[in-house]
Amino acid sequence: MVSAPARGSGALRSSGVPTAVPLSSAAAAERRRRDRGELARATLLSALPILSLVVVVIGWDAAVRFELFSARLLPAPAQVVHAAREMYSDGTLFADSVASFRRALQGFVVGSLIAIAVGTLTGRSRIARGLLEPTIQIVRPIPAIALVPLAILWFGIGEESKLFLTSLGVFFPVWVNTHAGIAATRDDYLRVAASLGASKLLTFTNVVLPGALPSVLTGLRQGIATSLILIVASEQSGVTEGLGFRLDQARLFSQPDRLFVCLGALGIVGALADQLFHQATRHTVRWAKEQS
Amino acid sequence: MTGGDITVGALAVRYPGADRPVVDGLDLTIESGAFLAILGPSGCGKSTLLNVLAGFVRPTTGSVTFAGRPVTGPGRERGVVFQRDVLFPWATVGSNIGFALRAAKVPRVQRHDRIAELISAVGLAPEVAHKRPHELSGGMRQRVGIARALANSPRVLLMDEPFGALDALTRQQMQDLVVELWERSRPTVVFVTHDVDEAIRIASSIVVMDHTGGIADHLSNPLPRPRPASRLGEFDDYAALRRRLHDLLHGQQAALTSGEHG
Repeated sequence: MVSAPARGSGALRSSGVPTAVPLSSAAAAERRRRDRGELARATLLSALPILSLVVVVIGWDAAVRFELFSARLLPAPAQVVHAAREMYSDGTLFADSVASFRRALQGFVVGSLIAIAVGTLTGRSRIARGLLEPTIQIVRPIPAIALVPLAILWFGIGEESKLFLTSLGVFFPVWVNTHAGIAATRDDYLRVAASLGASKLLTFTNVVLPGALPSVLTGLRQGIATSLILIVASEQSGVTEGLGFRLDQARLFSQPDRLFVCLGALGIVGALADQLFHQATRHTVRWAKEQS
Repeated sequence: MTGGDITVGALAVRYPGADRPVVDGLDLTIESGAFLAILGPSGCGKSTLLNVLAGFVRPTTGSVTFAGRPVTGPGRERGVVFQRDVLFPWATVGSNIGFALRAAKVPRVQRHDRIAELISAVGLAPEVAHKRPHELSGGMRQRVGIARALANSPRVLLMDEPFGALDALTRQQMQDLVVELWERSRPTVVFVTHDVDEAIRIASSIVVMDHTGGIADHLSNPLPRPRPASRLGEFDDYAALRRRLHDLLHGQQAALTSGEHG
């Protein structure tokens, strides 16, 4: 005969199903203590990024106060904030950020579109690969910044040379990743599509492209960073607006506080663009993470 | 010979760089509606033969015809269930099956019902349609693979060791499913396996491939259906058929091994 188990014993009921038992007060207290510990750890972890920034600013301020660096080289945080307020009030900070972002975006869009098209071609077609890959591989190791004189020679100092330089710089990381992603399409996926009688277009849009998407997005993310680097380099001449131009002006007129404001703005614009892109696209490639 | 037969004549397949053909001088006729198992030791060319039937691999010499027409490439009338799980990981189960229907240009309005019908036919719950492959067990994924291969009602179903990676119980359930689907609509099934009991349980006839890439024997399976896994040993002819197949396989395996070392 199976007797009913004592309450809270944790034994099986006669049905054979294990049941939850009430916690003793000591166990409940232990549980509450553990929960509090976990909450404190989680709060500390989420506060760490802000904490690290505060530490950097305090260290920076201390370095200036104790004159570890000359004020001509390293302005105090308060000076930088003051310069930022000034640049914000006179409208230059916003106008420069928008101008640089617009140029970077134009170069990014043009360079990415060409790179995705060429990467698809070289990734899928052996003829296209044979024709295009040698040239691209020879041009690829040349740092895009080294092409600034050539861009000016070909396109002058106006917007065209900036677009050329940025597009070219964005092209390579996006092409390499698109090519790799497209070329790595699993043979058995292609066999599935072929055995089901799928057209080339359907196979491309529903098999090749989604499979390559994680790699393409990695290339695009690298392209965002490259476009910002190159826009600063190309704005050093031929423009009167843009963070690169303002940086150069700050250097010329020995205004380290303004220089730091421009660097900060570049960092913020870059981080924002990167995070916006990441957040907008991450759901489309969630499967790659889940699969691994 | 009827309209849906598959005929393989003097087939030889030699991969580039290989010192000998994987399949050599193979002749085989598979009648329409047959359930044929292809048995053989690893490396004897079973999967290559299936890939030739699917149209993925071109014969070096010889011919393959289906319904009197030469097989020159993959085709919708020959569905394939692969050894590995090859569902598209970025798509839901419904979209994976829907891909087959889109490939066959089935109108959008009909696709939803057809997907539900196929999911039910392979014994899965309707809500599975919204899941992604990584959320499913190995057996469930293979069921989806079968549903996708069956989506356009192929006349031939080519299966390349589809249950090799599954546990014993799931494998038996999958064998039952394939037999049930075959009995329902009688497509020609060509099922590659290295498992003697699996071949005996499901197939109407069994081909054993030899170590030179030809056919060592082609036996018909005398066991009546249904053939429950737990009672396979109770059939009169089971032990003799099993012994015969094992002897053939061991002989070919020994010849293949000595050939590799010789």
